[in-house]
Amino acid sequence: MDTLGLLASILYQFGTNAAFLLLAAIGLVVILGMMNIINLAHGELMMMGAYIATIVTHRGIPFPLAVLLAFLLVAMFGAALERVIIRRFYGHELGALVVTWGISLIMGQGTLLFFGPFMPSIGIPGGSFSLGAYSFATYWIVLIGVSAILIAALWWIYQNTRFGLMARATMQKAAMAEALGVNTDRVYMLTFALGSGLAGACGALLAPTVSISPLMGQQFVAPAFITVVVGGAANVLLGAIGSSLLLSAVKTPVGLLFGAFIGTVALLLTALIIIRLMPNGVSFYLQRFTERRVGA
Amino acid sequence: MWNGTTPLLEATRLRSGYATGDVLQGISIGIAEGEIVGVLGRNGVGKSTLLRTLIGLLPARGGAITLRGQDITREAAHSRARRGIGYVPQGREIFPHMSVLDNIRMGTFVGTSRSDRAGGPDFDLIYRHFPFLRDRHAQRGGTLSGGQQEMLAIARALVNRPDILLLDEPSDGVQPNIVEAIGDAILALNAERNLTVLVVEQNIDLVQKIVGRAYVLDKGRVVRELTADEIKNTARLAEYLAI
Ligand SMILES: Nc1ncnc2c1ncn2[C@@H]1O[C@H](COP(=O)(O)OP(=O)(O)OP(=O)(O)O)[C@@H](O)[C@H]1O
Ligand SMILES: [Mg+2]
Repeated sequence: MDTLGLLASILYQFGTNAAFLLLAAIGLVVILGMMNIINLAHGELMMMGAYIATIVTHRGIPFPLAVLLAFLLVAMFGAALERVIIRRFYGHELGALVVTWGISLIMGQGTLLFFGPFMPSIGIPGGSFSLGAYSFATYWIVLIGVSAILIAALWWIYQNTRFGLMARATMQKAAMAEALGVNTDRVYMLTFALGSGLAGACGALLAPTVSISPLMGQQFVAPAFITVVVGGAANVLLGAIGSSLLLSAVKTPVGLLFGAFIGTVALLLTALIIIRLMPNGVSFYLQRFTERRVGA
Repeated sequence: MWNGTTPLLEATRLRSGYATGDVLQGISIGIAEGEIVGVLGRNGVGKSTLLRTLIGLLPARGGAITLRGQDITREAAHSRARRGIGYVPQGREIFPHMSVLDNIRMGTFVGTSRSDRAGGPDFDLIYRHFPFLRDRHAQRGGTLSGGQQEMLAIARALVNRPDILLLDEPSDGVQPNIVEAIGDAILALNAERNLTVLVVEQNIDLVQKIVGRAYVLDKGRVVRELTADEIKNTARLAEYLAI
């Protein structure tokens, strides 16, 4: 019974770590991968989603609805940001980096001014259960499922919808897409809105598991960037899946044996080694593998 | 020679260029429905710049562009494409990480703002002229040979039945038998569907095979118009291509 419990616990830790990386990264994956914009306000967009979900949940709105609301409101905020500010910096990667950093500062300080340094967080929905000596939070199991569903839905959108086709083409050759009838301005706005909305929804989803404060977004930024960079640009969605699984496969056993801190150090070291050995990221190899399979 | 009826596509005293200065110094051309018109001239005279300005990837700095008499000079490129202009750039610009089929699908927005558009995309037409595209539909665009990419770019521009096709050096870096096939396809589409074409080309064989009349460009200006007879004269044509 206890070997079963141990196995389940390891699997649970593995899934939890991978889901956390994926949820932290998913909005960034869309914006960096599809628009090549290094969005340093990513953490603050997640913070905004967490605040929205926390505030409305305290007012009695059911949590799933709060997550949806976080997605919609942060997406609209992202669309406005893109219209007013971000679009002036296309093609100027350094400029975009600086301006999104400025946005992150304003959002963080603005939240501090408006809501103060702390906000009571919402309790983790669902209870926990145990298998032998090991206990499991139902909510994290739900999060593992939700992160899998989110990435699958995103994949489906990019592969099967008109918007997905236009967005992929715009990412690869914007001028040619424009010359074939794609309103690339609109694609950029929608992409930034989608990435922002996903960051907001993921912030909302993670809100019950962390403390709510104006600077809470910072804790998501490093794991998000590591996941995206290790994943690489060849295929950003495939990369995010591959790298979150890979990094979790390192962090989980090391963390179980030596504690969470050493686990995080191992994750960073692995990321460094992968970036050094595979400058094109995990997705480059995953893509080659899948292409060989379709017999191209 | 230009016969004076309302042209399908017309540019008047068109000026355009880059940060380094104007390249087109006031170009006036017209293409009537059903014509295949050539744009000739040696390297760097502004042939590609002309096509880029016509589709809207470069803004016109002076002059006007009309499609069926409607002024499109200030319209964004995507709006012009949706009016029914198909564009095949020099270097083909295939989407390298997308499948052949998705590359063709990217042509299905061309012409979608026309009020009188008949039916949707015509994949059968494309596969009839370029059968290999059907067999390779799952392959990544970037893995095709230069000639195959050129055919894919033409198929992409044609799939939604554009009113006019802008073709920039379709023979560039393409092996002779594929150049031949491309010429056959253009001629067939022109005969079957009255497809109008403006083609930039330096390959004498292809020009003589498909082009009905031609403009010769030099230093951003039209310096001559060639009739069908002048184009058939190989020695004269070679001279103009090297102007
Ligand atoms: N992106 C650009 N920025 C600045 N100058 C450019 C750019 N593209 C082309 N030019 C210049 O504009 C002029 C015309 O170029 P264009 O590409 O239109 O010539 P072309 O007639 O198509 O030549 P080719 O036969 O080599 O394709 C050239 O002097 C070229 O160097
Ligand atoms: Mg050219």
